[in-house]
Amino acid sequence: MRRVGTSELVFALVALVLCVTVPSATADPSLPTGSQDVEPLVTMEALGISTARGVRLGLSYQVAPGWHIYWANPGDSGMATSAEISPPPGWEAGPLLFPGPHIFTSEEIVSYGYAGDVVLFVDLIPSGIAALDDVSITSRWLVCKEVCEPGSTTTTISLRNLPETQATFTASMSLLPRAPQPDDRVEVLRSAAGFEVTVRGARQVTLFPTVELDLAMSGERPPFFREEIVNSEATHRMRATVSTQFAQTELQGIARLEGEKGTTYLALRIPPTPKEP
Amino acid sequence: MLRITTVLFTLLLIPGSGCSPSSAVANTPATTPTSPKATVGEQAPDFTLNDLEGNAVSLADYRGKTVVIEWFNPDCPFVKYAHGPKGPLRGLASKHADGGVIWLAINSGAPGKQGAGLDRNKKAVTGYEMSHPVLLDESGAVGRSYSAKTTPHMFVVNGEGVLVYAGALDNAPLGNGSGAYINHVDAALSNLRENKPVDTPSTKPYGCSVKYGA
Repeated sequence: MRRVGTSELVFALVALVLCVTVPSATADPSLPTGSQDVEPLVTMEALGISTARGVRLGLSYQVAPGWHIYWANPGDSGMATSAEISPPPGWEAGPLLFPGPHIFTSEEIVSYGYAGDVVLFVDLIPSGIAALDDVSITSRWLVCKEVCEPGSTTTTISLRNLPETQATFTASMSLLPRAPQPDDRVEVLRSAAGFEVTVRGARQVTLFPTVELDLAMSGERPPFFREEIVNSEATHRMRATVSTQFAQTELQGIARLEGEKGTTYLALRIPPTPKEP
Repeated sequence: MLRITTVLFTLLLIPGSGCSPSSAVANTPATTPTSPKATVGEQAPDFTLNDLEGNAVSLADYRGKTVVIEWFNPDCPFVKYAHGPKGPLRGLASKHADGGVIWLAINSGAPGKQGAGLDRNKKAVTGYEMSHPVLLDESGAVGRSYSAKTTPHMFVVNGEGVLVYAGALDNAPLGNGSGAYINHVDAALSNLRENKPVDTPSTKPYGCSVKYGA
């Protein structure tokens, strides 16, 4: 029998320590987790481009097949993906910008989020003498399939020598919701009892309510829009009542319009209830 | 070296405690007369479910007392955190029990789903040092009548049997929140103690989905 050398023994012990103590790359070490996958369920890398106003950061997430992470309003369950941005002196970070989400259902639970690859954005605007140093980004998420695992990561990106355009960035930015234009043929009406949204000419319309809108029209369940044919044209309409506590609140949501021109995400603003004269 | 490798593999194959699904199936629930839907400001739907010892527990038994209902799945990361050593649910039921508040956890997970089953929940009660009972609702009838979506999803019923709060446990999922920490259940119980209306009667719950059956 061959004697085991000191170097082999050290190697084996190092291997044991590494295998036992290194968690999944995405696992938050402060949290108990149900399983320790070898492959991370979510990875995130930060990209950046120079813009006319400053810098746009893109947080590019890759989600393992079959799993999903969550939109700003996760829906019935889940947790919004979040990011804490620590820019260098002279910069201010804007809010996290989410592209239009997708619906995930499990039994009667309806959630909003992303599968596969998704890019969230943050704008950095100069607020003084803007140093071109590193930006620190800590993102937290919940990734779910039938079960859920929380995860987080911290990364940095240098603001020096950022490119002005990146092709993948541009494609992802087109998924960000934009304000409705007259061509979109969207009409929003607010009344004392609730609101009504009408979309003409689209093949399919899906509403993604923000957390506040979700609470305001508690009890309403997707699909919110119903299709009618008006003057031989597809017309999608939704009517919802709003609880009185939100009467003076501007409510927001995202409408996904699918039609001949492709898929468009529109940022809907539902004004407060008009005050009595 | 072969022997060392064997030892390493053996160590790596030791299953983590609490990670394997429970093989035991809970005993049959008592009755669940739960046709009405829970609505804040209205009478909370009554229910009768069995606890982990097989005792029937009814909401109606606690008329006159404030009751907190906590939707529970011991293997959901949010529940693990909340009932963990530094979690916001650790000791919260005991603290309020001194003031006469009844605290009930309900697991609406269907058999075979994550966190379901008598054995798993018994271990969880011990592991999380829970002082309040876990009731099993394997059919999901009670969960559906309360529109329980997440674990944890919290409900507060006042002494008149009226649902006065429904929503999240707090504003810091997994301990991560922005702004001042608010424990919504604590706040609602504080309002009730002072005979005031609940300031924030509904919030959006967060957490894992309730693992209902089909």
